[in-house]
Amino acid sequence: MDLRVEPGEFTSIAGPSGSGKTTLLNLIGCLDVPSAGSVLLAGEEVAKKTKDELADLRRHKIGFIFQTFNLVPVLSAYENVELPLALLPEIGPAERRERVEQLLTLVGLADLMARRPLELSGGQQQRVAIARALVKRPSLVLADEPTANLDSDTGVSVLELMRRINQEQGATFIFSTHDQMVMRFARRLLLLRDGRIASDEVR
Amino acid sequence: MFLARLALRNVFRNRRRSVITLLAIGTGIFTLVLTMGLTNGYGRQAELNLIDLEYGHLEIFRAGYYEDKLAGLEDAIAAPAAVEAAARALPDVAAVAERLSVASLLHFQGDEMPALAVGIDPVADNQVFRLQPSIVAGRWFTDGAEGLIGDRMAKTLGIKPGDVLIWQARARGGPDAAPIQAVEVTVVGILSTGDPALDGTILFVPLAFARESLLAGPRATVLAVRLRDPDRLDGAAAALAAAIGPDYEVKTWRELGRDFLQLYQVKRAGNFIMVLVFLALVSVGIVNTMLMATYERQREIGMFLALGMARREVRRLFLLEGAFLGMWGAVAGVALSSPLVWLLQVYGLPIAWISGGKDVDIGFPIRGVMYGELSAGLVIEALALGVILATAASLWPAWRVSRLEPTAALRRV
Repeated sequence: MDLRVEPGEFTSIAGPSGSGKTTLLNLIGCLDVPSAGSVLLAGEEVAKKTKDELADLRRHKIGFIFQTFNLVPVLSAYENVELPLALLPEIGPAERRERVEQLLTLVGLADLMARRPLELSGGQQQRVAIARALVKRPSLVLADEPTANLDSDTGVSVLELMRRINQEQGATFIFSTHDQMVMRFARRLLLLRDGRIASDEVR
Repeated sequence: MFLARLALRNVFRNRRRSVITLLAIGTGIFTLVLTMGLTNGYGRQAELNLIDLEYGHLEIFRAGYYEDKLAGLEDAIAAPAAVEAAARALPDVAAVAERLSVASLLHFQGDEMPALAVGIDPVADNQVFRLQPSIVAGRWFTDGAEGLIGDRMAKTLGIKPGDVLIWQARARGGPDAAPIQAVEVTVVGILSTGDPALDGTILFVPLAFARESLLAGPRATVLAVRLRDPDRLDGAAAALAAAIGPDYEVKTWRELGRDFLQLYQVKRAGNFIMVLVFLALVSVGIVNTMLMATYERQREIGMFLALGMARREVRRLFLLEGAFLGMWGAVAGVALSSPLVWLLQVYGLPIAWISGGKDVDIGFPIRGVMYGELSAGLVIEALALGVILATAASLWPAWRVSRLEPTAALRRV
């Protein structure tokens, strides 16, 4: 497989189960290192980095959105969004507050900041997760089946939100999905089959 | 800060499990505070008894008398009045009492038992010691052929106030020359001090009567000193030794009671270790709780790692959770146990009543009422121990969870 993703892309990776979508995302997201071949992130070889350096890279540059949201149940929506910034000591408390509130407003949850995840609907939880992925202003956002646990209307609004953020903030988005709707939103659609790129369509 | 807040909330994430773990830690700390509160209280009480009933703060002997096991009345202080005057002249000294002790045999209605006869001044002795308040039957003596014995001895010999016993001892004059004196003594009072040796093996007689019976002249075997400030013990002992010169030696109650104090320290350490073993068992429960928590939260930890949380921060999160768990458990244990120890400090534990009048041996014999001692030191020790143990018990689970690979952890359901 040979794949190059440019900054600012809004790309969807589709394919049947077992085709390698998640593995590809894990490699791009520096959660895994390749056993053969190489992954270059902004020109840097991922395999040459130590685990700590990879963690540091994820901490600063990469946002993750998970299929099952993975919010921390004992933290409020506000605190869940605050979490990635708490790992960045260079961002002071005032800026932290401003960014969290701004993001939660952007995803339409300004009134629900104090609620805990279990007090929110699935769509609201995924919007918290999106805010969490974006709050550190990453250059790359990876979303693993972001709409899989949402109904279609909610899925559309979440996708519209991500597309808007992509356009406004210029962050690169890469999704993996089974969902036809997500594929329709993508500006580039990669189809995987058995670990290979079966088609690569730019719209 | 954020990690601490998260850790604090995580402690109560699984309520039932946390409550069970907190109960375990709380029970451990409760046991610690109660056991050590009683042990410390016993130690404090025993120290006061050493001072009030046995030694005063300081004792003056003729040089060599204390170490010489065969010393007799010939080796006593020959002119105690001058030594006493020198002692009283010191600003540290509140009171001095002369005493004359001699190994004796007591006879009563065909029974006999060895005892230490101690001649004490019925007035001056009360300024150094606190024997008189321990009278439980009869009265304090004035002078003449009267005696006081402890309730244990009274029980052994079957003596009541008013009974007459025969006191037999070797008078002054050396082992060969000394005539054996045997005189009648009317027991006028029974003491119950709670000190087993004192209650079981001593006959107190008036000092003048003892001197006369033992042909001892003005001699005293010991001068007991009470200080104005008990904390000035060593300084006062040095000043006193300098004032009375090299013919005499001064011992503090700590030196005189060294055997007991060492025994007490050993027993105290033993009790502490026993409680530590119990707390170690509790720690196994904490390890289990933390392992369960790490297992249940693997996906969340995977998410943390994906967000770029460092492994040491994951470890710190779980160590903080352990510390908070320990803190809450310790707070609960202290909150439940300290009122109890406080009650024991004020009202005491009636050992005699519980044991039906028998002595209780917890490494050293106890009788009468046992008091607890609630101190800030004990409370701080208990809180610190709770936190340290629970944090230590979290070390392994925290290390284990920090080794997870993010992709593997995220796959867990």
